[in-house]
Amino acid sequence: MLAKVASAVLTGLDAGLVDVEVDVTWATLPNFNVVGLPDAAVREARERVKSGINNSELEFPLGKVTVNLAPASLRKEGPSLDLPIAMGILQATKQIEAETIDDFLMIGEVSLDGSVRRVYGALSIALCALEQGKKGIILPAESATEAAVVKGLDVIPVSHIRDVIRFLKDGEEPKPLVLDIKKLTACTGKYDVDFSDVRGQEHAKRALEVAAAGGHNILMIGPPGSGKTMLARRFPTILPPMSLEEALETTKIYSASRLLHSSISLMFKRPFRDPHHTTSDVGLIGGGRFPKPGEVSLSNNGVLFLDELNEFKRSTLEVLRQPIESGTVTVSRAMGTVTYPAVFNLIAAMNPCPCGHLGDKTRECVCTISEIRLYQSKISGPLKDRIDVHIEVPRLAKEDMVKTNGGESSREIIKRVNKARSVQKDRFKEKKDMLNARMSVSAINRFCLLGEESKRFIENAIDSLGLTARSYHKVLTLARTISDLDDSETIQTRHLAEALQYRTYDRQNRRRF
Amino acid sequence: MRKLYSIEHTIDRTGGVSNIHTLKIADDDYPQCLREISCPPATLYIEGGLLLSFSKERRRAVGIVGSRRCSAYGRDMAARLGEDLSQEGITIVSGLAEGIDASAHWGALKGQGGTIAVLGCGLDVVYPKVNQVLYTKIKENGSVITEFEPGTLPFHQNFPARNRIISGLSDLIIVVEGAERSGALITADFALEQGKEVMAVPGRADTRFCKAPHKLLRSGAGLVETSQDVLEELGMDSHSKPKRSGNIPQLEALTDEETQVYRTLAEDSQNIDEIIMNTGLQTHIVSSILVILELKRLIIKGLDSKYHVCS
Repeated sequence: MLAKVASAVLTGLDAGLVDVEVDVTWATLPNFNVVGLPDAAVREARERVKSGINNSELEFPLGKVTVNLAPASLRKEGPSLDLPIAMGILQATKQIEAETIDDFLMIGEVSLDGSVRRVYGALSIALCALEQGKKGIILPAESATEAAVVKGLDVIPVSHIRDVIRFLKDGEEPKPLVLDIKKLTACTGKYDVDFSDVRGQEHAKRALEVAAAGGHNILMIGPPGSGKTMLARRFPTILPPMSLEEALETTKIYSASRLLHSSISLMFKRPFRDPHHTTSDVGLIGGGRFPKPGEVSLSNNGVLFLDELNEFKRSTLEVLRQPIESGTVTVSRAMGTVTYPAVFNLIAAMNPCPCGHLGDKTRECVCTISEIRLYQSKISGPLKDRIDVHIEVPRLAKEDMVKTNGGESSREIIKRVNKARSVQKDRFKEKKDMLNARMSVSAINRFCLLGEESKRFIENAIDSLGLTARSYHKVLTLARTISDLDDSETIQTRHLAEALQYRTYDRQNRRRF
Repeated sequence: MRKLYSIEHTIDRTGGVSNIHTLKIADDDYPQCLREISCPPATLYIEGGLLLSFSKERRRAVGIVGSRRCSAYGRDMAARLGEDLSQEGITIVSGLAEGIDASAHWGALKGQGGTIAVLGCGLDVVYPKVNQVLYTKIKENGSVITEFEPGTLPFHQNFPARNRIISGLSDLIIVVEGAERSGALITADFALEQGKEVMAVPGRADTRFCKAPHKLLRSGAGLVETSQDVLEELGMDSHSKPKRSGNIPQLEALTDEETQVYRTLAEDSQNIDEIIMNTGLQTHIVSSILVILELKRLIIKGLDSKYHVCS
């Protein structure tokens, strides 16, 4: 007898529908086969399902069991098809007879005692179920929290094969899981760090505020212990709260990468990723036989922090260029091509010189000038060009640390950031999620108009600082953000001057004697 | 010996345009003072006309040397001494390196004495690249000379050899800044060997940069505060008054806040956070003021990210 159960597998971030067809015939020797491009984990489902059924006071048929995973062209990976296979067998052997089974999509890993274990990517699969017009989704209780954010879908959490059977029989128990999204946003959007923890560093804080307001990337240069990491960790706290769409996208990525904690249903905290400098290209960009998201995608809608920027392999840094530019990353492998979102704020940090103490009050630097040059030139021009804000973060002397107070809290800063973001929203009406930092040259020419006085000022600056065309545009976008923060419609001289302050590298190119 | 480039190769690199001319030791125009040192260079490659008139007129020359990495104070002193001495008609000799050397050259270019740069590489090799502008300026208004044939790369062993030419051309050597084992001390040693006078500019007691001049001062070198001290040592009278430090430039054109920032910096060099703390001004205002002052060339930002007032 033939049975069909709907399920789905992940292909990149999105899920693809899989029909699990089970056929049981009795005229031959007992046999169990799975076909339809299964990987090793899917093939192993045979053993788990067999024991799982037998240990749930049910019977595994002693006939020829053939499982087809359609469409056969789609590669299936992971153990999430265990549950639909088991249910298909039970349906095919008439141990359950439920017509409602067609209304539901099923995923779950079956363990030998028949209990159902957590699977990953539940959010994407739930969205797929909704798209396919299913009434609901039956899935492990541990994965149910993330799937429950999908509206218009009954999310049935199960923890044992028996739960599924019970549900299919009467449709009562277990009850669908319902979440209050408003409650979620209220409790998960909080951070346990705050800008008021940072003493001094007023210049750096202001630069971070500008960067947050316009979505600019930042490079911080400072001696060890000056607080670069501390500042970076607090950067997400001054970014505007995530929209539901953003949160869904980020959650999908985390769910697909098996990094989502089972208690979290939606990620309303902006992610902060700080990969170690030994990370490979693939680790950063994504890859693997079945392409998995890399760090750039894990920091989607959040912050990618690269500490010790010059310790990263040069090739690793170069691969960052494309995602920074386009906001997506496409990974092609033999097993398929996947495009992951990668919209992030890059924060990079490095020491000013090999010994780290250049400009330090407390310790003297012992590097020669050519060592310093070489060290700072390790970062390629193209990458530097993609970083708008370069600032120096000096180390505070001990006495200053005691003297100064914490300063503004994140909550006060975020008010200004939000205001500047809403100005930008009005400006780029036709384009969603557009920020000053992502303006094209034509947009810059349109929105960054200068008055006579500021024109004269910037012309003087171009001459004496030797700005390139690209850095001139960077200065204009930065000045636009600064004037947005200042609630000024036009870009004024003081905005341009402040923008130039954040272009340390441009100014270092200047001859100095 | 590492590979030296052939002359044919260099001609390509200068695009076929080359005003290099050579002086053999036997030539009449060869500087007499160089002939007198032990181991004089057999051939001098020269660009720029100053050296010929220098050796014909037997002008006075002072060498100003110091380290590449230096403080803003060191740079200021070198530039000021270079300018003041050049105003007196003295030719300034140095090595076209970054830091003290470059400052001394820049200062000297402002006066009448002119400046001679002695290289540790071939004339067609610009080293260090940051001094490209200075290099062309000196070629136009002074002389760039070397004993190395065109195409020679700046190998580190060339530099002590070059130092003997710097001291050989000079009547007196001033060491401005340098660490304990600085090349400036090598130049000073050559100078003493050649019977020239050595003087030194004192610096801060607590930094590495001033170990070399202090070592010289301890062993009896003359102390330099202004160009006056140098002129006395050379037995010359000064025609003009040397510029004093701390001369306040025109501040009328500045706003109150700009003046406030400038005044704070005039007291002591500071980084941006210290300026914010000391002036009590808002962060973004200080940020923009610093750029404005920098563009007006009133202040300059050092490699150590501190701002200094320009003198």
